Amino acid sequence: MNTIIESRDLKVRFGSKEVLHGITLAVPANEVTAVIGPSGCGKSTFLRALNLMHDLTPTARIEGKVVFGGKDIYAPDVDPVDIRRRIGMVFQKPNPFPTMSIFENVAFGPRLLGLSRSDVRERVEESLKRAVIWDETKDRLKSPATDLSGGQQQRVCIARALAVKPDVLLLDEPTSALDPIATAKIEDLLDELKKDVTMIIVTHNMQQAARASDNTAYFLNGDLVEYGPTQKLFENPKDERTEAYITGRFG
Amino acid sequence: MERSFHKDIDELTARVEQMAQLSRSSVDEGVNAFAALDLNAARRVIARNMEINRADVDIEARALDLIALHQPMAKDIRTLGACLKIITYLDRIGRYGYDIAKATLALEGKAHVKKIVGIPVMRDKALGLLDESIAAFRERDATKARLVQPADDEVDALYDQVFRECLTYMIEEPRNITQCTQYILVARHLERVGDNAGKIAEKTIYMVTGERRPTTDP
Repeated sequence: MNTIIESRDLKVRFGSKEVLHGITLAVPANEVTAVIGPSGCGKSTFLRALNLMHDLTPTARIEGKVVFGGKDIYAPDVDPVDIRRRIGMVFQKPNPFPTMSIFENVAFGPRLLGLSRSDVRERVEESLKRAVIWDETKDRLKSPATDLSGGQQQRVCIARALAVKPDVLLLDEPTSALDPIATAKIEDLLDELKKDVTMIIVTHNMQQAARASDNTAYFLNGDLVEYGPTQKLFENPKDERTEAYITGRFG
Repeated sequence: MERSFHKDIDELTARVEQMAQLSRSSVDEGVNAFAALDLNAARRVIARNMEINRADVDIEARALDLIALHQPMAKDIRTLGACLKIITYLDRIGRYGYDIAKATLALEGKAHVKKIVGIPVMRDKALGLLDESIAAFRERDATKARLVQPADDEVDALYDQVFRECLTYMIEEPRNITQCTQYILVARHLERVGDNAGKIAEKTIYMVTGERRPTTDP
C-alpha cells in the first residue's frame, strides 16, 4: 500500500473539550477512503484537520502529526496555502462563489496560481470535463454558477477544487443535499477521479460508503474503532461496535 | 435497540426452520413408504412437494424484499445470504424425498428382494446431519456446524456398501435388477441429502463468523 497522507496520534481539542483522542490512520493513494460514524463522532473534525482548517478556529488545539508528502503539515515552516492547494476540499452544500459565472468559479484557483489566460481557459475546460459537468455547462459558461441545479453546482465545486490539481480531495458529505440521481453521478465521478486524486469522503450514508469507497474508517466518540477494506468492514466487521452501528442496533 | 427489520429477519429464519421440517418429513416418510412399499404413503409425500416449493419461493421473496428495503449490512446480510442458499439445499432435500416416493411407485406390484436394512440406516444418518445443521443454524452456533462435515463421510461409506451389495444381488439373479436399481437410486438420493445437510452447516458457519469454508472435495 502506497500511503499518501496519514495521521499519527492526532488529537484535536476545542477549548477544554478533546474531540479527537489520538487518531492514527494511513490513507492509500489513488483510492477512495470513507469516514463514517454517528453525529458528533469527530469525522468532520478529522477531515478538517487534514487541510489545516482548524487554523481558522482560535480555540482549536492540535496535537500529533499529519504526514503528507513525507512532512508534517503542522510543522512551523509549512505554507498553509500550498497545503490547501494540494489537499482540496468539497463541502456539504454546494458553495459556488455567488457573484461569479461558472467559468469564473473554476478559473479562480488557476488564476491565483498565475496561469496564462489561455492556460486558464484550458484548465477550466479540463476540470469541468473531469467533473463530468462540461457537456451541461459548455454553452453557458458565462451564466452565474448559482443558476445551476444543486447537483450541477456540486460538480462545478468539484471542478473548482480539481482546477488547482490537488493530490488529495477531501469531501465532507458532498451529496447530503442532493437527490439520488445527482448523488449517483457524484459517486461515479469519485471512481473516475481516483486515477489521479486520492479522496477521503465523510458521509452519513453507510450505503454510500459501501458503494463508493475502497476503504472505510468507523469513528465513534472521537476514536477510530475500525479501519479496513470497505467490503470486509460491511460484510464482516471485526469490532462489535462497528457491527452494531452498521446493522442499526446502535444506541 | 430492536428494529422491526430485525424481527423480520428472525421471522424469516423461523420460516427456514419450518421448511427444514417439511423437507425432513419428506425424506423420512419417503423411506418408510419405500421400505414398506406403501403406495398411499408415497403419494402423500409426493403431494407435499408443492408445499416445500411454496416455502422456497416465499422465503426467497421475503429475503429479497428485506434486502431491497433495508440494505442490510454485516451479520444481517450474511444471515439473509445464508437463508437464500439454505432454502435451495432444503428444496433439494425435499426433492430427494419426493424422488424416493416416486421410486416406491415404480416398484408397484413387486416385492423387495430382501429386507431393506441399509437404506433406513442411511436415512437416519443423513437426517441426523440435517438435524444437527438446522440446530446449529437455529442456535447460530458455528462450533456445532463444524462438527457436521466429518459425519457426512459415514453416509458416503454406507452408499458404497449398498451399491456393492446390490451388484451382487443383480449378478446372482437378473430378475432383481428392477428393485436393485431403485435401491441404488434411493441410496444415492440419501447420500445427496447428507451432502446438502453438510452445505447447510457450511452456510451456517459463514452466517455466524463470516468465514467461507474452502470447498474440500471437487
